[in-house]
Amino acid sequence: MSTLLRLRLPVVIVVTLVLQRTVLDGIRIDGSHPDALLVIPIVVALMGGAERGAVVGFFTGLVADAFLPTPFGMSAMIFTLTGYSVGAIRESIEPAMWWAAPVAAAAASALAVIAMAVLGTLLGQPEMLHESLAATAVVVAAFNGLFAPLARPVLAWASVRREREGWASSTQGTAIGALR
Amino acid sequence: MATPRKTRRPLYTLLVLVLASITILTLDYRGDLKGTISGVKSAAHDVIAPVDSAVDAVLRPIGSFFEGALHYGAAERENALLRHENGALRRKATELAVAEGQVRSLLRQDHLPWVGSLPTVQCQVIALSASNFELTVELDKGTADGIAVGMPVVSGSGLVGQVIETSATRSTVLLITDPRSAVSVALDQPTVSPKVSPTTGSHSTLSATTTGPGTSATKSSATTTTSPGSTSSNAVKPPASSKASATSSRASTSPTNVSASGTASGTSSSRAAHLLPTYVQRAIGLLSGQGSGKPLTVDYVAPGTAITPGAEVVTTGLQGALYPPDLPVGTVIAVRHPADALQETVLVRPAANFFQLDFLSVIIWEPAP
Repeated sequence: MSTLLRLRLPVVIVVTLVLQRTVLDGIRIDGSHPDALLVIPIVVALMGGAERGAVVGFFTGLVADAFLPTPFGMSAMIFTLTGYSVGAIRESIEPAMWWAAPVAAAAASALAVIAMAVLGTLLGQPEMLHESLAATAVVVAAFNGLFAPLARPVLAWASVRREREGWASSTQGTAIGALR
Repeated sequence: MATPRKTRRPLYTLLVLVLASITILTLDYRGDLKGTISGVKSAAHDVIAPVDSAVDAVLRPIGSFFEGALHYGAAERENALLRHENGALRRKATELAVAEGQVRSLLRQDHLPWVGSLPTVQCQVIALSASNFELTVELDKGTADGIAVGMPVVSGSGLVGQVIETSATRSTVLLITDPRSAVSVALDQPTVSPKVSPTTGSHSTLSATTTGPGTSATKSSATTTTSPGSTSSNAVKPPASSKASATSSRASTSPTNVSASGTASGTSSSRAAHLLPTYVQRAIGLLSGQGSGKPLTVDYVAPGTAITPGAEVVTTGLQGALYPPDLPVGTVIAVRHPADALQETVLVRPAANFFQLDFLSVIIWEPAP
């Protein structure tokens, strides 16, 4: 296994971060913008399962935290839980359906936004539960639902090591098949 | 077909990661890792900054395209409004050019050395809020240019926010429209029209006689000698537009409402009427944001305070304040008097246009510890 292959996923995370900061942050609908970093653990979880989704979610969240004024570790926790949850429930959805990935990404994104606001409130930032929260959740969910099919081939490429080693075998393989 | 083998390993992994997150959050909350986390954030910003700049230069047109497409209607309305405002501003420009010199003179007399003397750092906004929960912008300069946490940030129109994070090459600014933001402000309500009593020769006498409820009822009068050849028939400008006069009156303020008087300086020019002193009633309050696109609110304004739409809102600069005094913040657009309320509800339209933040200035001024 070469170092270059191991670096694929971190590179994808950094590229997504740069795109988020340079382009997506400027796309505002009712004051809210897409959150492309959240798509990464969701799609990885759909392809690789709960454990992989949680791990990727944790590190993607830490990267996001480094650029946010919110308490450090908040995104890491939410992304971790999101990745795990999506991976855990993916077996209960019909992976062969074409809409499985976008719908799962949209639903998970909306819940993640709400969970982030609730966690922020618990951590002493009640303004995070603002009245536009529902609109924010809808905007993030809509965009992430669109991003999920686009992210699938990129993240499949980035996760080549795991796929070759069989992490996507058995039922996980069916999930990947659905996303393909 | 192989059957998945159920294990508890994913659950254990989840627990470990959640515990790790909670640990980081706790250490951050307690401040134990404040230096480390700040260092990590600063380093991350510095590492990604060159990449950001390069990619931004290439992709900004794409982002602008989407932004423009999404806000086409608003942009069209805004253009019409700006054209209208532009005409009015051109008319005022000539008057202000004359007034500027006189304002400087007045400020020097009032011993306000901070005006125009505080150094600033010109910055460009390179990124908007990275989160849907904070209203921030990122500037293209940081500690290497002398910027530090706590410094106020202004646009050409007024106060924008305060630096909350810095790295060597980047700064993050919390906008005053963010609900977390709080600014000690003064609402300058010109409730009293000064009486100009022509006197013999080249003298004019101005007096203020009334104040609103709850004021400290300071009656003031000033007698000034006008320059030779001047007349005492200068019209008294409607007070709301006389920023210079309002500024000159701020030398005597208190945490309660104050009726203040300025000094008169008569000239033969009709434009000098704009610089006639205005009697300003000042109320102090705490301004906070309500979110993007929403008016600011001012709390802790005593019931019955005579504030009306049009009153100017500026920073107070009171001891321990987070901002230097007299930075323009906005204009009062509505005042509500809820029955049995313990305070007025004051809504303020910000002076700065938060939808068009491009170039900003960081004032090299730090709050007193």
